[in-house]
Amino acid sequence: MQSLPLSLRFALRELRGGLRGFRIFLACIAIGVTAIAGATSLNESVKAGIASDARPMLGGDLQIDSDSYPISEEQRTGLELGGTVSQQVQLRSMARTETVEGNVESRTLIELKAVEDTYPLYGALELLPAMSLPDTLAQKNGMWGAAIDDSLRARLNIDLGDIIYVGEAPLQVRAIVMFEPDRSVSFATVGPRVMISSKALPDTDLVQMGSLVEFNYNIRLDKSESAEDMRARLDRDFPDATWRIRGLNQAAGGLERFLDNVTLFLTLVGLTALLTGGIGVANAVRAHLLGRLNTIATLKCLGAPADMVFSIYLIQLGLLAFVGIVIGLVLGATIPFIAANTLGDLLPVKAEFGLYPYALIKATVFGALTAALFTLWPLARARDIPPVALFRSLLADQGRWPRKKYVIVIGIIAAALAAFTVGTAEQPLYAFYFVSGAAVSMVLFRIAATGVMRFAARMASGRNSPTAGRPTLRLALANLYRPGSPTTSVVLSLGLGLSVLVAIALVESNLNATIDEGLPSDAPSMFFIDIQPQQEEQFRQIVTSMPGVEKVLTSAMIRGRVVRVNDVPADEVQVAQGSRWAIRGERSISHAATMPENTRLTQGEWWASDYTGENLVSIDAEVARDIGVSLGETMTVNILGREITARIASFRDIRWQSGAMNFTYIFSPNALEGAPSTYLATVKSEPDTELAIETAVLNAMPNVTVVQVRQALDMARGILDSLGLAVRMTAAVALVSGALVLAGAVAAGHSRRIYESIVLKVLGATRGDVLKAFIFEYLLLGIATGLIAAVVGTLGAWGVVTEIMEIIEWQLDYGLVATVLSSCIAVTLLAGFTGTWRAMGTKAAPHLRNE
Amino acid sequence: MDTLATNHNSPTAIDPAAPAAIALNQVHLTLEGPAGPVNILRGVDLNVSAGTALGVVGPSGSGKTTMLMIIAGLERISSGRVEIAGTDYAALDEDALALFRRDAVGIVFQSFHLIPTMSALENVAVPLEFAGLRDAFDRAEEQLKAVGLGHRIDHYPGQLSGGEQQRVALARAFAVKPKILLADEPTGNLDGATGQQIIDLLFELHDKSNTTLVLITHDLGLAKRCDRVVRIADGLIVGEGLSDAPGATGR
Repeated sequence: MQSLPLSLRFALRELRGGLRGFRIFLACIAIGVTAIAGATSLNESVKAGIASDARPMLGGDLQIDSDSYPISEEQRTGLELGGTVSQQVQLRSMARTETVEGNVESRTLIELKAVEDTYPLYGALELLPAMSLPDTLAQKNGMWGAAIDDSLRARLNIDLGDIIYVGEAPLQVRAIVMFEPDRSVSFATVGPRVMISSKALPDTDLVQMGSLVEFNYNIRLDKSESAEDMRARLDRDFPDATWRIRGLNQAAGGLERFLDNVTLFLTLVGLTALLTGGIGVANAVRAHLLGRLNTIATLKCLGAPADMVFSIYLIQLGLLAFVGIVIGLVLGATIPFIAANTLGDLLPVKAEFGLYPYALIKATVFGALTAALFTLWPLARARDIPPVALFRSLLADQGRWPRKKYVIVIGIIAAALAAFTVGTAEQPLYAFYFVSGAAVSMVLFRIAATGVMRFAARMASGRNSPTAGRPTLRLALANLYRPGSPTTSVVLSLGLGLSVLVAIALVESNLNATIDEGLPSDAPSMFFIDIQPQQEEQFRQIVTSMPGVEKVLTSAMIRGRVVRVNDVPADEVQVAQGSRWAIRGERSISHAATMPENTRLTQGEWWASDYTGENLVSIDAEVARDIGVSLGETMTVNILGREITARIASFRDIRWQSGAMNFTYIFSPNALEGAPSTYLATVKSEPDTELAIETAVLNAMPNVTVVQVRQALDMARGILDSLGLAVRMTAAVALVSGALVLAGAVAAGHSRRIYESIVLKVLGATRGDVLKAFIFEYLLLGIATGLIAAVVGTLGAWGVVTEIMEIIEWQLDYGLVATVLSSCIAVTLLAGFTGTWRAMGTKAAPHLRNE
Repeated sequence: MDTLATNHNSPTAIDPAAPAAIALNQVHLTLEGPAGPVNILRGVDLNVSAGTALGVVGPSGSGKTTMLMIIAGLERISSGRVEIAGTDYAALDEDALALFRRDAVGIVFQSFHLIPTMSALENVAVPLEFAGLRDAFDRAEEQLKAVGLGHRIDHYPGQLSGGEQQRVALARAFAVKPKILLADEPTGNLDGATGQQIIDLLFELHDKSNTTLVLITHDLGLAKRCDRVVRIADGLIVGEGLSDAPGATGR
């Protein structure tokens, strides 16, 4: 400890030369720290925004979600004991415009929301022109009003004051919705908003028994009772109610989960950047220490103990890492502010900007641990090099392990980094996968790099090798395997960044391919929803009489929810994450006498078409596996307050990607007798007949809603495209670190390249020969790195696609892989070429003089 | 021209009628230094006939190495004329000079300048390979045997002693049978005995091949073994022959 002030003095003295040699060192640390600090700060600021906006976002202090039917008068009275209650009804429907003669001009899918005068209980709805909502939606001259999204104006070619039709009701468009405080962000949003008064809803004739409708009741507490007390009271007074009660902490549940996922992804990308950058850090440290060999040797000769040498450079590099971290923190802290300007409109909440200490501390710890991890190894090696060896050769420090003490410390730091990654992640399991994946990849790339070097060595030596007679090629190969060659670090860092990019791009292309080609040729082209039972026959007649129709299928559909599996309440059933949707909330269920076509039973038997015995049900085999039920066990569903229990008779293998109509639960017809059902129909027709069919059906039945499969797919593809772009851009951060390491390696090899080009010139090599040698070197490096990255990235993507996403038809996009590969080669060539060009211009004579 | 002869221990007779292997005519070299132009060479005239072993002596910084670099085509002159083995350098660009070096000039340096990532054999083969010879490796091996390194052909420079490295460099310089061999203090980094072996080898190779040798040295004993000696001082050739008083035999 005595020597510490002295070491500090020496360390600072040595930094007088400035930070020029440390630009890559600083950049590598700063990039990763920026990514982590930025992502976490953004998450915190959005969450702070959610917390302060929770009431407007939820729509009240509490929300009762009552699925597809309204609550009873008695229940409503119960709710009103706690405060003001505001009902809202949401459903999907069609809006249309008609000519004076009553012919339909245009039609589009909308999201209808019928609200009471008290809406919104919290926050403010912004309308253009600014006017009160009850006034906007009120009935004037026998006509109900509507407020619509701006996008609907263009779709239906209408303006304020025009009339649109929803179901049976004409509505006058009186305002544009500029901001809706409780609009949830969801990928399931299919169309623009149309807001009407709940008193206008009956006129539309859209809400009938079994319709796909959502009834919600928002409550503003009047302080007589806390939210907790009210929950307890409702549970006590209405034990049979099947509603779900949502509190403020669930105001933006989906959004928060989404945010956490995004943050985890960005943090892991930042960590990847830190890890690939760490290799750049290690290279910079090694180069720095090599440049200080004489100083170290001199210090040792003057009596400095090895520990002091170690602490001098530890202090020096620690200071530099600190500078890098501070740069990263400053940049990272500003990211929420930048994001506010670029994606402010995309976020449903106003993020609260500020400094978030947790984000900054987390990023600091990540930065410090990575810097320490990659600095200590070369530092500990340099510590033990004897002065004599320092004088002898540049290559003396290769392949030596540091002392056991340091290896243990390095191991502890690596473990701490892994533990911190898993510990701070919202989903520790994913973080754990990442840490293991990163460790395995590092080892894989290390092995691959060794393989490349061995191969180069074999190709380059011996007089019968392919390089005999081609000294430039031999030199290029030799530069790949010589001691101290950049092969390992470039393959490791650039390769790691690149394979992340390859994996992400391939996963994305598989998703796209699934959307584009996943639909078999017999998949339906349109879905018709909410066909009333009495309309089914008419619907069939209309559609089958149309030209171009190839296939029409109708199924009964009933809204219901699973309440018990055997005797266990659905909420308490242990379900794998992938199938949780199947027993939470309301689902569409069906009944059928005969087995639907294309059904494959994996277990059990289908009931006879005239079966009348005990209630039976057939379940999706995968859901059954995830819930953990077997044949002969029972499931209970609640349909409009009535509980129906059925015994499981069979499991079906459902391929959801087929695009055909499928139900997770199909009951025997006798089980659901008397339950209010609507019909769902799928139509497969020739592409250019779709509009005619839609028009014919909707003219006859305005209550029916149609979804064009092609439009829905286009929308899904659009979301996927914009997501994919964002994901690829962030993944590029990891690649930037890799490129930095490459640039560092090229820069570090500069003096070597100058020397080699001069010796070659002395021996009679033309500039072309010299250029060829270096082009070869980087071409080989680029090909090797690109190939390895392509293989590792493809394997990673294959794992994700087949194991996690369970897409069956894995496709390898060769064009994509080839593009990545050639870009990698182009980048390495460019880097090598830039360095070589400078080396080529160097005058030979000064370098050949005797020292 | 003064033809003051030095000790003739070379059996090669010098034919005065033979064309000059090296002809420098009023060679000037001025470089831009930080404090304005610096005159490195200030009008060097030198004619060396083919087969001659020429010793070059002079104090540090006098321009010896620069003259050697000019003869090698590695440094461009500011004015004057350079003709080596009948070729006028003024007409050649950088690549043509490299090709000329490949075919006609061998160079040996004080600090060897071997390519560290290539074995002894590969180092010697490089110029032969550049010349496109199919039997480059066989010739290189022969040449290594000629310098007594037949047993170390697969060793890398780092695994060889200084004397061995310089022998590899000699083998490399002689491999293409150059018309001109330039040596810049080839024993400067070697101990006395090893240096002596290298010099013996150098002269032996020179005698066998009728190559024109230009040898820069500080060692007067070594200079005495050359056919002819010139003294350089301050960018000019100030005299021929060895003299204890520099400049005593100036023109």
